[in-house]
Amino acid sequence: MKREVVVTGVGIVSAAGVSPEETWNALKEGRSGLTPFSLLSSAKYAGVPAGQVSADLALLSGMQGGCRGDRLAVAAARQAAGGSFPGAAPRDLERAGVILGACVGGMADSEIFLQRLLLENSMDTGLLRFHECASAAEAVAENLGLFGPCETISTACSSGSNAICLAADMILSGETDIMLAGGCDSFSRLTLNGFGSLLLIDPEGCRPFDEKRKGISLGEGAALLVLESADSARRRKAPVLAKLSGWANTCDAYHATAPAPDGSGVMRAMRAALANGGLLPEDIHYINAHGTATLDNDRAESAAIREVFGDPTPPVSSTKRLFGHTFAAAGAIEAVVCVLALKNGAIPPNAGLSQQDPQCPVRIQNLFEASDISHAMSLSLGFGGNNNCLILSRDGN
Amino acid sequence: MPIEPGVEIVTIGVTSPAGNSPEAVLAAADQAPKPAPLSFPGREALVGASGFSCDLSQTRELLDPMKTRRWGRIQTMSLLAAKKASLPGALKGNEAQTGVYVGTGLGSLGETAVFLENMVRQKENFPKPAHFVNSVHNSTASTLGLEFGLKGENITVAHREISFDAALGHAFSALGQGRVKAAVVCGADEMNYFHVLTGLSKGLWKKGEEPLKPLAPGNSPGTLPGEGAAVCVLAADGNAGGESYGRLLGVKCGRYQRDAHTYIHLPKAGDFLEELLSRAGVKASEVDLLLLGANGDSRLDAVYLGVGAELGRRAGKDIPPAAFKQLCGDYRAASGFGFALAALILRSGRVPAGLFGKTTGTPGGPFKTILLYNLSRSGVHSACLLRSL
Repeated sequence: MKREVVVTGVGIVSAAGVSPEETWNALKEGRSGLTPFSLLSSAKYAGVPAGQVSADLALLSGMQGGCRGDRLAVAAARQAAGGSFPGAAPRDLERAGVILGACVGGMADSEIFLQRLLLENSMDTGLLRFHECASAAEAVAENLGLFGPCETISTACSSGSNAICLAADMILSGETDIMLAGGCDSFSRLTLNGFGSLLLIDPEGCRPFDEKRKGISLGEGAALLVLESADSARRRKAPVLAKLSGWANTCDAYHATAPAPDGSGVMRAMRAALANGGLLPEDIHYINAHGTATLDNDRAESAAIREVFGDPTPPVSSTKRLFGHTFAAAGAIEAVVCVLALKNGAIPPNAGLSQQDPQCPVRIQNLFEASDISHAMSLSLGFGGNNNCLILSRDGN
Repeated sequence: MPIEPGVEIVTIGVTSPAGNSPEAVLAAADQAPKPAPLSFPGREALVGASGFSCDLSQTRELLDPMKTRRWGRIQTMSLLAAKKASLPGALKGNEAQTGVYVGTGLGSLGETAVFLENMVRQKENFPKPAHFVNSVHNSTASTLGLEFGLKGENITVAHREISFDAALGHAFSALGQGRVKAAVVCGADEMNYFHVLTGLSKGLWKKGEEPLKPLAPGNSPGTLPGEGAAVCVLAADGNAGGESYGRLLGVKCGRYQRDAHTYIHLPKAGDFLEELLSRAGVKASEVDLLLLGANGDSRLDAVYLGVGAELGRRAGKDIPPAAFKQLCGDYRAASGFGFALAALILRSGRVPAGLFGKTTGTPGGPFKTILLYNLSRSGVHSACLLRSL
């Protein structure tokens, strides 16, 4: 019999809140965390709306060292683990692991290194210490004393949700019983200028599915989920917040950055996740879309949702206006949003929308609404045509 | 017919400093190549190190120049290795259900550096979007998917020295769970002044141009940088016919516990390896060869030999240790090259004498079961178990 994978803890640090409770309040009020960008010096992007975390990360994470991404991850991990997995047997903890999505690591420091090298001819190689994006997962494992798998997944904007899929696979295969999974990323000028070079940053802040949308708003953050086998959760009497019912990853093999316009790749991911969870389209009561607010993404994603669900679709919302697009953290943050929606029995709204794009023919959820949802779907799309679908369900469904 | 355990290694391809074909690699393995001074245009004075670089002169012959001019070095190396691995023919029409699993520690460093240099020099004006697109760690995996129409899972692991092994583990699991019919697994990292400087900052490199001699007595601290790409195709069913390189029986990754005296807690490391062996139904005494990620740094060589001795103690016999980084230099995804070499050994039945650190008493084999073991100073380690048919 297939092992059940359940969610027994969540942690989240973002511009919209630094705990699940704060995050849920922001979702309820449709309160955006976007503020004028000021975190790093940037000649071109100072002042654009961005999801910056203003909290004291050293305090939240208890870390004095590490780069910003490490601290974001450790802060979220501590919340998710509820300290250190209360009730877990020492052997289970020793086998427990962490798998995180991360894209930029300590890139902000690498940029300073390069700036000094090129403009001042000085070489402070200590600034490259956290260049590798692997450091966050290791910081989490070190802080929580985990000795199981410790990995970093880097599949651009779908990294966090892919990390969740792969952690679930490890639990299914019996390799381990408890995994911390999610994603983290902090700001860098590489990403600001990179997305800027693609003309994908909306100077007015992102407006997912809106007719006048012009692109994304960047953000930073971390979210982690404790995934474990249902047996393990029972053994240590951990509260089950949700069940991870289905998951899948596919590749468009269409273009280096743009999604397949017909949404065929993400469609296959949705169908595979539904099949994997033994669910039908009508079982899904809410879809948290990737909804970056780029022209291509929102249209392709809408086409895919319509094809799988027909008309009307389940309520759809993108929560990117609240958090900004947090890259590797995005899929994990949105998985936490789904867990909170299931737990609190309500659907979060699609903030930032004035007039829906007729080329995005899905049922957009405009207002916060109480709803007895049993199954929520989270979609993530990344560069390289990387598609991910997660289905989270209320325990008992 | 009984079901064979594990998955089949259908084909392999390499782009490596030791050569770009299995034959060249085996030939080079008997006589370790000498490193060469590294040259990064405009940065010679900054680096001043030696290392092992790949020869990419076959690129124009095997890959479309219109495409390669848009790719970074890591993408070109990986696509070249994929061509050497006979892609797409080796997939036998299963492209839509083929997954791509790439391990790369540092990704497309050259493209990242070009984008950042331009950003700094031009004060954020006139950015170059193509370099940004290539700078993401999964650019290699997506290029493999795009070039060969591979629409299954597409995963990139970027975790130091275990990047390739972890990617291999996900491919192994996907095949075992039936999520894909075939898996293209690639381990790749490119050399760039960023990589070399990072090593310099940590005091990792040896001086001079002497060949690396991992596991040899009398080594000094430090190693030499390298680069390369290795691609293999795995399948759950026997679609390679008689051409198979052998079988992958299991993969395991995790964090190791440290020990003040032996660096790594040896009994725990022994448990780690035995758990992998036990899941694959193999006894420690059946392991014929330990292929280690030792890099000629005396401090790490000792750790690797300690782990090998621990397994030997449990096996009740000496398991011959061998190494491969003298052929490719040290880079994050080098275990991909080690995996390809292990597959070559299984198919040829021969271990080149140059892989053994000791110059005398070269073991004669047979070498049917090979355990590949890697560790990173950051605290993670990995192992892969391969067996001949």
